[in-house]
Amino acid sequence: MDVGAADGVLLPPCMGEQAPLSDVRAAAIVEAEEVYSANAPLLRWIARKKFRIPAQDVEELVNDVFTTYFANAPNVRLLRSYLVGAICNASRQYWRRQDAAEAVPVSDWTLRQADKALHAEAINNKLLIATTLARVGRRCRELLHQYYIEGESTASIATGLGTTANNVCQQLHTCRKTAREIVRSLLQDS
Amino acid sequence: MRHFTEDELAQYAFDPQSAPERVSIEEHLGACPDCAERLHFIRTVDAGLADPDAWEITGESEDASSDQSLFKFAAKIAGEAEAAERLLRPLLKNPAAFVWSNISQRRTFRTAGAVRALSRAAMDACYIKPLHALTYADAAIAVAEALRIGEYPAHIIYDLRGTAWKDRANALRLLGRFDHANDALDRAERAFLHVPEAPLGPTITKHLRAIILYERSDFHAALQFARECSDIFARLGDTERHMNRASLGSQHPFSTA
Repeated sequence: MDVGAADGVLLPPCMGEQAPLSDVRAAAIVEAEEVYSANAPLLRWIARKKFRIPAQDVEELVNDVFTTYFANAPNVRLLRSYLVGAICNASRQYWRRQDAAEAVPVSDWTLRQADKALHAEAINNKLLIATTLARVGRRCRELLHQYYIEGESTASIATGLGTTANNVCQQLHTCRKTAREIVRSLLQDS
Repeated sequence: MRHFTEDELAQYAFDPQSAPERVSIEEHLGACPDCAERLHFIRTVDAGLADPDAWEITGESEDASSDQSLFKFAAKIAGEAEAAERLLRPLLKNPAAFVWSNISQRRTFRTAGAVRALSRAAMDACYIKPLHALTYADAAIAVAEALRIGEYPAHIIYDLRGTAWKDRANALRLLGRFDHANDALDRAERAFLHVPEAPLGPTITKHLRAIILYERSDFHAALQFARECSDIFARLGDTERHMNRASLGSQHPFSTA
């Protein structure tokens, strides 16, 4: 083996050379941003809604999950399942610490229910639709929200928009069609 | 047989009463699995659009601001991994040189990337040359214990320490030194307690406990541990380890798994 003898120990010849690491780091940043933007909303939602972590503490919890993931990435086989498992563990630990400080706002039962609601398939479907909604465009998003979440009828939406119910139906069909196309493309990519 | 277009099926899914060909569509769906499947897809997406959870997750992405320090950390980890790989490669080819180089005392190697690379080397060597694996794991422990909070977030340092102790335990159990392996697992578990957001480490530690119990013919306790690990691995999507744990369970002479 070709080794040097600097400072009294065996050294590989490459030690001390400045290899170009900037490409590796730049690629890591791009990859990290992709992983973060695709999954951070889901993790925030799990922490906030399923485990009722106070809003001011959610971001720190989510960041801890991502730093640990970035340090462990080569060992992770299924990214989303790993991240969901990680935020659940971190959230449970958060409440255990609060419990130790004699503040128990969330019961064990609630935590178990949260776990049950977080099966991988259900989570994947929710995130698929959430990503779709983010890409469907503002006009469609508002219209779909009025119809599906606020429960407004097409006639009521038409009144608000100063148009006809038929027109609203047509717009809803277009938005649903766009949503399906996005879902298909996301499924093909995954 | 005329297939219906997606627009026709979508209109039927939205409001069956308003679909001009409702009767024909319903007759056709009974005989055409393709159209039935397309209608199922349309209805699944529609149901998803009505899921408040999906809307809330979208809302989380709208008011989020990503933390740039997080991405810089990812870059730092990647850079360290690349540098450690480059520095360690020639040493790992020559175990004698590795021992002589005393890397745990060298500042160049005092990085999270070096600990990870040494842990990986220990994992790679454990089944072929467990004694070498033990040497690498011990070097990983020495470097990880030398890392100071401030250089890295505390939970990252504890994760590295836990992983290195776990690797030492794995090498020791392959050398048949089960008591020492259990001691190392105790150290790993204590370190992982500080890293609640890393679900893999504690589970792999538990898995090693199961194997040691199995090797010592304590089948009931081994099965209990193996089942707990198997469930967690399955939830984390780690199919390979899940199947390994399941097979460990099935080797138990009294297993009903």
